[in-house]
Amino acid sequence: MKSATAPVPARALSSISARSKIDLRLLVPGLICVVYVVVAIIGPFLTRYDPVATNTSQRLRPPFSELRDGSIALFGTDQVGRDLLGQVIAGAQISLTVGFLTLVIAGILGTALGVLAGYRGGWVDTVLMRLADIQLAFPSILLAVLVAAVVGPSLLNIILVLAFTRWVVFARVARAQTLAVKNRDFVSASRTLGAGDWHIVRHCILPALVAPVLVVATVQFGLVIVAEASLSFLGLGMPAGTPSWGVSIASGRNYLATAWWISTMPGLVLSALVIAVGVLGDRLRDRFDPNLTTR
Amino acid sequence: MTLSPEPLLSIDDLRVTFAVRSTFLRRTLMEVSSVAGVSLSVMPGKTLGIVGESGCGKSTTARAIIGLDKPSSGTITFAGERIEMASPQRRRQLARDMQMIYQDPFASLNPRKTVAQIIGEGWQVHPDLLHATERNAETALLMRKVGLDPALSDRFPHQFSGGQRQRIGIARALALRPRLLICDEPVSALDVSVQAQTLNLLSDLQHELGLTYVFIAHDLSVVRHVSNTIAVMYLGRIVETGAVGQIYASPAHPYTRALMSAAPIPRPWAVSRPARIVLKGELPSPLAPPSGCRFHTRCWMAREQCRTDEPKLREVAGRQTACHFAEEVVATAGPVGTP
Repeated sequence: MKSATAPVPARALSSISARSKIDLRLLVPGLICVVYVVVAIIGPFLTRYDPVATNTSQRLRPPFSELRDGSIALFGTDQVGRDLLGQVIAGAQISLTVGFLTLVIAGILGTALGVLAGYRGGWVDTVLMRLADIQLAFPSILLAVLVAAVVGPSLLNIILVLAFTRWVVFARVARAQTLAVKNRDFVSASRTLGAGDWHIVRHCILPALVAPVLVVATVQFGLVIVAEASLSFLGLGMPAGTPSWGVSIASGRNYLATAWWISTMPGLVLSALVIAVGVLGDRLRDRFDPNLTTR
Repeated sequence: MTLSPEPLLSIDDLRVTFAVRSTFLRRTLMEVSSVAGVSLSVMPGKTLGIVGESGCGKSTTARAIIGLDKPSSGTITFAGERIEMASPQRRRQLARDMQMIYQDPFASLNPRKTVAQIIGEGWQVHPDLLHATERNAETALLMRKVGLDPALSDRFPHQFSGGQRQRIGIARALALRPRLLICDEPVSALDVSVQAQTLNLLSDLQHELGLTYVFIAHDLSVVRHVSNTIAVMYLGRIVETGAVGQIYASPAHPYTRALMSAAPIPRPWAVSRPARIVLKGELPSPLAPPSGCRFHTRCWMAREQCRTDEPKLREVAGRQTACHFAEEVVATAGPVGTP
């Protein structure tokens, strides 16, 4: 019996040393995301950006140009002389809020329905998944345009509309993972211990869903922010005058040949966030997978 | 046989049937009987071994006892109580009395839980069994009991070897202090060197805790090592059952003889043993079991009667066997020509 008490030493040691090491692939994108969140929260108080103020004497200034009042416009100014940096910072609040809340709503709804479909099976599964199929057969942006046009532009509406178009992706992933897990031996073992359905979902299925749902969420985060930008670009998203990355990109469209920075600067900020979230999600997935020891 | 004449577990004419459904509209195309009329019993504190090749219904029998598969007919009696149609609430309670050890120690432990969480899962489900403040101490006790270092309780399953994982599974089953332990091929996924350790652990625990085992395996030497009585299954039926010594000494069913002759022995040059009986053909599909004796398609002694009449279990030479010519099998003990 004694021989069985020794742990697997090599692997145990390597995982300890790996854990104490600083993980750059987690740290860098994590820091970028933190910066975005911090800027979105406190930025508007620092820059005092006024979306309706115009300063036509300073319009269409390129990045890094000095303005008449002595300040430097890092990102340049737009066609009515508003500071683009201020605009991007103010837009961060809207874009991050939309991205985050949409994913929370779509993620919870989609995961719940997916687990229900996969775990119950039978007609529940058939009905839910056929609904999902029908919705997937429809381009999601078209659906969003349709619903947004009916309910009208507002922050809450755009979040609900986008969540409504995104739940399917979460539901499908959650269902597939539930099906893969629910017949594993350790689920039978839980049932043998007398566990009910709720216990099994909570302790066996949901933990197994964290990693795949997280990956989907990070991919979707970028898509949702882009979708919000697209809707705003089409005039169906945020009400006119509200700063949002989509609105900024849209408003610079006519000046691309003469003042590239109006669309490019918010676009770059958006891309950087989407990439950072993607890398972060990938890394987090590895962290959540207990069988991947290469941390 | 024992002081207590009442078996802890007895099964009578158990059948477990699965529907084969079409992918379109889920209509039932046909039914397959995984377990087709099995009767068994185990005395308290004893071990019943169930042997048979893959697909003979051993595991389904176990799953029916523990409540994972619903029997389609027959009775299961545990400590005097009929449990085959027990309500989910009653099943929950019964979980405290009977537990199961699974074959694959890599699949049967939740990879996202620590050892302490895995062992303590039963107390989460049955919070009244053990007060929350005593659980850590009990976990340590259980780990020591199954030969694991309690200091490893916050490790995850992937950090352990197969034998250690199987010990974790045993500790999890023991946490509810069951009376009956169903071991579904508990060592067949382990290295041979670890098999013996695990079997010894199981047998120590049986003596220490007075456990009753239903021990399923396809390895005859393993079953012989642990069992008091054995049941040999073929295609959903029991073909022979009785005390382990009798059956191993002189099998009375051709299938049992074939199995015995196929089992490796430690020093083949030192003992004279009957010639190896090699069965022809494959295990028939349980979707369309053969008529008469289910074994007749592969039996070298099969005659006309075997094709038409189904043999019932009957008393032959001190054990139950289901063969029309069991006396002949016993009489021809000794070298049997290969077919």
